[in-house]
Amino acid sequence: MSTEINTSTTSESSPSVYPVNYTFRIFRGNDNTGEFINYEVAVEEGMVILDAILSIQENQDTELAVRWNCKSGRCGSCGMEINGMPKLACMTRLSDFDPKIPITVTPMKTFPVLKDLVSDVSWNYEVNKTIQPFTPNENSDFVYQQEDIERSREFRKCIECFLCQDVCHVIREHDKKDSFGGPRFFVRSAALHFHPEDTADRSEWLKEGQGGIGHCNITRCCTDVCPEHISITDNAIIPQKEYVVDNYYSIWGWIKKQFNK
Amino acid sequence: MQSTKDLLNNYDFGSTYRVDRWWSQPIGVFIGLSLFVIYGTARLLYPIFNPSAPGIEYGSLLSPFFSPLLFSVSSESHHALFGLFPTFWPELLRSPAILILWAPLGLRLTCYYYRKAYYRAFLRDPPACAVSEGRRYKYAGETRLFLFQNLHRYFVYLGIIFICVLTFDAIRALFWHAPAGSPFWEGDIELHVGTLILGLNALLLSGYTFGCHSLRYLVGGNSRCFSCVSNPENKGKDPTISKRYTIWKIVSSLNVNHSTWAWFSLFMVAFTDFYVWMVSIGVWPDIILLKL
Repeated sequence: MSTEINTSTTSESSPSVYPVNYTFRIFRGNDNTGEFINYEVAVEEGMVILDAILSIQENQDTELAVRWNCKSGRCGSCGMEINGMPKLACMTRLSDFDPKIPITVTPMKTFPVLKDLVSDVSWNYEVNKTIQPFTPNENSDFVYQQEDIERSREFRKCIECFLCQDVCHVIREHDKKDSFGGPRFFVRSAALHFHPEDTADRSEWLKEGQGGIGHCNITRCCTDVCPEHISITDNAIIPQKEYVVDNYYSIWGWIKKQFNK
Repeated sequence: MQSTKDLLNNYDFGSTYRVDRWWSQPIGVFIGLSLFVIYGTARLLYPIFNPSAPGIEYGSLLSPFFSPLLFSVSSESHHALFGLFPTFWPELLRSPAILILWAPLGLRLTCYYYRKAYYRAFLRDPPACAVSEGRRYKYAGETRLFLFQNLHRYFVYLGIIFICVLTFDAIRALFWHAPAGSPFWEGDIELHVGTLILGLNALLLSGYTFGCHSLRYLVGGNSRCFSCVSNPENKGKDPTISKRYTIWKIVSSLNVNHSTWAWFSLFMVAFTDFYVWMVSIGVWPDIILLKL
């Protein structure tokens, strides 16, 4: 079951009269050194965190670095940590925060910090290259049906914001970047694996390769932070963990393999 | 200026910039699961130290902690399948729960929901999302020590057998006062509060077991193609798949609330045992609601 994590102090204390002054405690620096700097912003009704950051950039500190693009939760560029939780700055409303308590904004700390709120997420693109791409049946006359669309459409909603990668403790805390793909890439391999015409066997990638799905201990933080509400754990990770069980730990799978030898 | 590592990558236990009550859920889970483990252990040991009044059964009611009752500690048992414990069986192990409880416990221990719950609450791995766990060891996830979690699907098979047994117990709890030596269905049909409790227990455990992630995979989730029969142009790939798709949808609908089923069924199985125990030692009566 997916549960939204509310990292705001309280929504009950959201202001009723605007503009309201909010204090932002923003990380400034790079991968080596940094500091927190406080900024005051007069917030109007309906503003999101990204609006406030862009206001700071425009009016107070033109050197503040932030990555953004669509401002509507579609491009996945403005991922950062707001009061400690990975979120899209453009989808996080300020009315959910108490103006009396400073809002801490930091970059996604799982990845190297390039500058201020911008992290270097290029490791993710390297992981992506290790996944065997879509491998369809040759000479197929397959017609895609609704039942099958429903299943993999969920995975294709991913906007590659990498919030799930940021929150995953296997990467964040244990730094298993050399042997673990992370939730985003379990979503991608699920999108491929559960396509009716795909024929590739990615169990080796999942178990022995860069996938390293055995490192995942199902703590579901990826699902909790996904801005697209993809049930990453239930629909992508667990079925693929079971797929690995089929191939490596199942009695029936083992018997089948012996016959196929 | 400070080191970025100190500012952002502080890996001390509990280090976070979160300002909400992130600790409330792991503490709640810790208390809930600990209470269940303490109660379950006490009940498992109880018949060893109180063989004259083990609190296992009362009339047609049988506690789910001891069902199926293979051997009994009391000669007055109505439910024991094979009579008293054999004489060679060590006295300190004469609790019927020892023989069977490993299966439902194994199901819960390896359950995909409980894994999250106890990894967070007991092993603080991590204590909550984006909260530092304090680096204490070389992390291996479920690749080494916790590889046994992959046995979950086998515990599910056993769990389904237990659901059948507990459903049978609930049906049996409708028949009372059968003459000695005759089958239970020759007794009077009576609806007791205990009958309803046993029935509700079987229902909640069914909701939990039939919403299992492994089962969801095994009944249809392992298929790459749901439509291969319903679409005539793709005919002949797997003639069983449309039925499996329907079953997969049913299991999926239970799976959505798997954690809720897990907690309600956990509470109910303990309460059902407590109810039968209290009735059997006369603390409260098992009220008859309906007699036919």
